[in-house]
Amino acid sequence: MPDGQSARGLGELERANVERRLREFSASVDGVRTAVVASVDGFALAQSNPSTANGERLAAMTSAMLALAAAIGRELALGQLDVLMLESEGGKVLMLALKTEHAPLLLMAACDHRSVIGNVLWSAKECGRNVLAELGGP
Amino acid sequence: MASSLAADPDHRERRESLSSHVASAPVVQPGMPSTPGAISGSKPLTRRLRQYVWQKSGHAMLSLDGQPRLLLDFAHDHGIALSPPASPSLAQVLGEGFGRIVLQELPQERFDALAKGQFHQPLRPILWQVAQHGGDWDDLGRRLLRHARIRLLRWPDFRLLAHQHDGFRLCSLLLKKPCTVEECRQLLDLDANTVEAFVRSAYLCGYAMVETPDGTHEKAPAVAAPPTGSLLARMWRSLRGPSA
Amino acid sequence: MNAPREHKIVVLGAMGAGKSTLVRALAGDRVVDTDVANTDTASDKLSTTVAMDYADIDLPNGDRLRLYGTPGQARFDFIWPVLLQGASGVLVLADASDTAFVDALDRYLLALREHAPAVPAAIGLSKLDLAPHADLEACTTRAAEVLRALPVVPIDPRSDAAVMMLMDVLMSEIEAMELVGLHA
Repeated sequence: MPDGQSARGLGELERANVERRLREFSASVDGVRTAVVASVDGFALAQSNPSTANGERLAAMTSAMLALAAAIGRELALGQLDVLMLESEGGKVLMLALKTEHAPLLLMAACDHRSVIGNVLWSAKECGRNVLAELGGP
Repeated sequence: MASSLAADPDHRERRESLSSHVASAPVVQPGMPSTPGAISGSKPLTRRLRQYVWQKSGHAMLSLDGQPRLLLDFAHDHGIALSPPASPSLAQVLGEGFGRIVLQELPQERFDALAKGQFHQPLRPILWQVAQHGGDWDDLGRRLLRHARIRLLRWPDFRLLAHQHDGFRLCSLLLKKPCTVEECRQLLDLDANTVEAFVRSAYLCGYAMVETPDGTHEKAPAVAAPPTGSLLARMWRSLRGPSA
Repeated sequence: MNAPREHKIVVLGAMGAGKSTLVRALAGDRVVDTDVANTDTASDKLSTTVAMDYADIDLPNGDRLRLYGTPGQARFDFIWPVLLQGASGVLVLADASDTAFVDALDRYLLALREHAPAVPAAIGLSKLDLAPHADLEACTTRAAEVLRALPVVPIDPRSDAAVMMLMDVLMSEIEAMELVGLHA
């Protein structure tokens, strides 16, 4: 059964560039612990810290969460889904759908309690634009 | 396929020579000294057929009232109907005459000669259907009446069960808990004939065992509460309507 | 009058085995889905479920049947225990045209063993027309080894009649589990 061994990832150079953007984003705002770019069907394409074990997992979860959020959005006729925000005691998670010509790309930012949601959101959107630019534009 | 075979002159010739071959084979009546490899009587026949089905090897022929009716290849699970009646079906004929069937073991080469060019069907569905038609099954019938517990060993192939919902329900129950016919009747709200036909088929095809309680005959254990079945299952069935 | 009850049926199984198709066959166009573009080149499916399919069916007594299709790929296995919570019954679909379909079943059987060991279940085997010699026995044996004796029902998830039959078999399992529980 297809399980991602032959998923289309990014080329070496593209990935390196995107990861650089993700690290810039993490550095630019307080409290961002990790950032991941994922395919719409949940494969990790780039991570701000690839050494951490759970990038793949986070990519799959982001895909599931955004797809559910999009279903709710459709149910309520809210139009295109842009952002899903989770807030917990210990931190926040932002998930963005980055619109491309084809299927969207997903950006996830996991933040600790130091983060200010407005700042993270603004920077994440900028990061999203930069990531898309690295990949040849939206 | 069967009709194109019938039109083939070679086939007709084979069938004619087949019936003359078979006419010369000895026919064993119950009570007569048996020739080697020939079996009759519902209990020995059932036992032998179950053995063959379990072992998945061997070849045989079933004759009824002197007429060869079915060739059996247990290794490939094939049956070949010989001069099949138009009506009632072969399964019904064999089922109702079960106590008079004569089984003759066949060596491979003989089977191959008789079976050549004939239409092969899956065998187990035929056996299943034969057993559905009951008839002369003294031994099994008596045991079932004496509150023997039926234990299903595994799920029968669904091609045997077809769309018989009562069959599904009996399989689900008997795989979890061996029950008597009476318990099945009460728990699932089925009639005795349905349960017994199912048990005969499952037994003949090797999916079930029947355990006679030893010693004196026990009273069938009383079912503690009125059976409600499962609410969800009943609701589902009423949603399905008469087709369920 | 009692409050209407919810009965939850969850559909597990490999990608491409027909889970979403089955949910759709049962509930028509009332299905809420989370299908997105498939980027896995190992499958020629255009889209894939990443969270769940959801549909509900009203039962004659006012109760409701809730159907949950699941994503089959291993990377989404965190969802299965979430969806299996409170399930009344489970269907596991397998794709017979996959030569390793019996092994592929393991992960779902193990998930059931861990998260829903006592929940009634049935296996639906699809695409047998593409694999007429598929070993159903091996499938039955594997289920019995990993979990318990489960019915293995050949189905075409596109056929309403076949899907209904699979549900009928599951309902028989649900009924028998309850009966045996009562009198155990």
